[in-house]
Amino acid sequence: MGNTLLGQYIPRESWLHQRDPRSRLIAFLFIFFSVVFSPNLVGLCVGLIIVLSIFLLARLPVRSTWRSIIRALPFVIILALLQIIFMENSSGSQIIFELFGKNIYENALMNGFMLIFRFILLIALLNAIVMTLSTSQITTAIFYLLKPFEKLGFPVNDLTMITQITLRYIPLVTQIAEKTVKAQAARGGDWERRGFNPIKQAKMVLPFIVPIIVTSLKRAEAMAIAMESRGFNAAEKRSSFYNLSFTWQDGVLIGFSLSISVLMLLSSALF
Amino acid sequence: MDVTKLIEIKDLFYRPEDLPQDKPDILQRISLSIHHGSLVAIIGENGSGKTTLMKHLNGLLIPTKGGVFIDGMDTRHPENLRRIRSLVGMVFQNPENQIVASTVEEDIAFGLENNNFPTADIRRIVSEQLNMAGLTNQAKRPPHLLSGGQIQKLALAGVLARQPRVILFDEPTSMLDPVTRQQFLKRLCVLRDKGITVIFITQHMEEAAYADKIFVLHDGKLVIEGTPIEIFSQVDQLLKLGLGVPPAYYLAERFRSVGFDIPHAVLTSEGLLASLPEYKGSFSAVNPVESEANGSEIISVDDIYYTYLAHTPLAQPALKGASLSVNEQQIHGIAGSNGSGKSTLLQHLNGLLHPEKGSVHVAGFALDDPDTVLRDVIRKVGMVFQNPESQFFEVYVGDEIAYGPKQLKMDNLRERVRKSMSQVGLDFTAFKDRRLETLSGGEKRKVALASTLVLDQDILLFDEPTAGMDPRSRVEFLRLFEKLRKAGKTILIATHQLDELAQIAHSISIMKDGRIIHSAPKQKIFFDEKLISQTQLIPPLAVMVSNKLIEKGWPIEGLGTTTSDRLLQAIKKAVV
Repeated sequence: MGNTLLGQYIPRESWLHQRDPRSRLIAFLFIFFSVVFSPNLVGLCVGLIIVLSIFLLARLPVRSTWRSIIRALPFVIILALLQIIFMENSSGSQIIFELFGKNIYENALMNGFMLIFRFILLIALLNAIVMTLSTSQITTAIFYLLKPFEKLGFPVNDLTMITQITLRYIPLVTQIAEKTVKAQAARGGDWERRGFNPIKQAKMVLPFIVPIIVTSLKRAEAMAIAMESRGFNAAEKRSSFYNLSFTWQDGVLIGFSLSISVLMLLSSALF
Repeated sequence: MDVTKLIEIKDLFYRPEDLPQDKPDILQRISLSIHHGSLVAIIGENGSGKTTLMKHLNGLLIPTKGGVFIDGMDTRHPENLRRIRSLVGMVFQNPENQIVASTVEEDIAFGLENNNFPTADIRRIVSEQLNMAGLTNQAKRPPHLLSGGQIQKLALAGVLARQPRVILFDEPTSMLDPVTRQQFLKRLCVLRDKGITVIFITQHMEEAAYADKIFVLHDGKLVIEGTPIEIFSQVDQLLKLGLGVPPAYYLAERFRSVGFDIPHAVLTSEGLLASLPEYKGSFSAVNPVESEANGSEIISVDDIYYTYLAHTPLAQPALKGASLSVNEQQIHGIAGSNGSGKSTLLQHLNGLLHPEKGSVHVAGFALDDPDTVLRDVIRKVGMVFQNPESQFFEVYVGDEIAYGPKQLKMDNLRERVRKSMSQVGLDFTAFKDRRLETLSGGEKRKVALASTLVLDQDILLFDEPTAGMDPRSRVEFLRLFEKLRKAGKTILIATHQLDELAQIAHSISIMKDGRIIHSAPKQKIFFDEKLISQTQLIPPLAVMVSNKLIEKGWPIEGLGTTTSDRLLQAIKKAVV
């Protein structure tokens, strides 16, 4: 109890950090989607190289990322096992061995392995995104990317504000959650995780979720009032603390990430 | 229209639409005016309508009847609101709630973005404000990692950036340690001297004494208004309203009764200290301080370390080798500034946190041992958190209090709940079926206390138990602690109010930077000026006065004059 890592943006002066938030956001989106949809191992290996180079280029610490991978690993492995056991043989691949009367095929094994690989890459990539893009940069990037659509009647101010508040809210809700857990534990609530008992843990969640929602709503109301008193009005024109400038280096970043994702997505055709 | 009247309220009534029929209006027939450039305090019991009144001053609430005029503009007309809100800024009771952005600098920029200022201007004003608030090094940090004092500075910077003519503060100091609080009050005076009208709500009468004018609310009505000296001369009336007078004023009054010549206008500690007389008597006997009887050790903490978000880029060490020893059936105070590690230390004493290094033994449990079962510890050690009412998770008072005994499968549930409610002064039948959100702030705090007391643990830990409470409730709480101790409980209180510890604690530990720097009986702590000056704390008023009197030759050294009663006894002896 008492350790939540969120809002973990790490301010650095690296080449990557210095790029325009818009180009970083777009580049990350390209890479993210190609890791999700990359059809084969070669594509994922390219993804691995890219993720590793992001960590190197932005000089990001590996330890916290490693820990979040370890934490997620049991679930990912269970998923992979299910896929291996229940996947039917479709393309006539070789039977490797038999388990509980089920044949285990080579391509099922391969798919299971790729699933684990893909998830690890995604976790690492998401960590890299939060460490290199601060929440405010994400908001500003969205604001400026959507701005051209304002003329079409698109509610850019609303949308940006929603993003900003949501991002500000994540650590707040975690804090509320932590306080509620502690308050219940201090009065005999059984929050200690001793042994594995999913039903019991699920039963614990209900009396916990309700106060979190209630408290979050109360805070949301308080924040709405504060925003109003600080002059916020979504219907009126707003300016921004950030003045973004797009340079040729940003073009390079977007161009590079676009070609990488094309490479990853089409890797089955190319190799 | 009189130009100096910046704010004018005429016959204001306020009643929210969803208020049940049988409840009276929240605000009733309030009329007042506030002049340009004045420093105004609003005082009143918890639930007297102070915040509601304040929210009318920048159009967050609109009167049900009557009108509020800011610089001549009526808040009832929506087209005025934008202008009114740039004239009147507000810092909320919980400043954390008004932080909108995810970095410090951006939050200051928020109000300027709303005014559609050009980016270059925003940048310039933000860096000025960062500088003034002393937050330049924090510019890129996320707000939720700031200390209470820093959050408040940030909230104020965000308001000041918009260059308002009026600033409203809702209980600005309730979470600040004494030195930060002093600095903050000075800041208010500076703002006023710059021509900004400052209006603040407070529960501390000594803070209200700094104002040019005080408004006293009771049950939604404006009952008295006047200068501090006019207000505080009406002692009986204030006590009836659940309020009080500044401790310095009270002490000055009592000093006059033993023959001291202290001007009537003395309201603050500084004023009192400056007007103390030289000793001209011949009495010289010095009584030894009686020593407190000691029980056996029940809490022992040895050299513990704890870091929040350990092994991450945001790691924050909170305890760096803290050691503590407390004997049973005592009231022990843990005093320290904001961020000195008091709360973290307390949470080690009931097993919520485990130290990275070092040992914790409480009531026979080794809490550093991961095999110790938390629920067994909870049966012995109770804890009331800071702002406990923000952690309620039930709907009804009775259920909230019964949560603990139900979890621990205790018998006689009803009797237990009844008993704990009577301990805190809540009537069982009247309150058990009330919805928690309908309670006043003071009542909520009582429910929070009862929901821990119901478990009848031997050791009770309290984190800032009186913060944000009105004077009457504070006195009630101190009495309750005394009663619990007499019933055999061991009580630990983490606080930055040494005044309160002076009245009830036996021994005190001073905490600084994650360590206990000194533990001793309270007299020794309070009179150790060097020790206190290392912290952000201020010694109890009686101690400051005693020190000054000793300087002036009064033979009261070593008499344990930590409270005003004891100080007066000593003085009477010396005068005779």
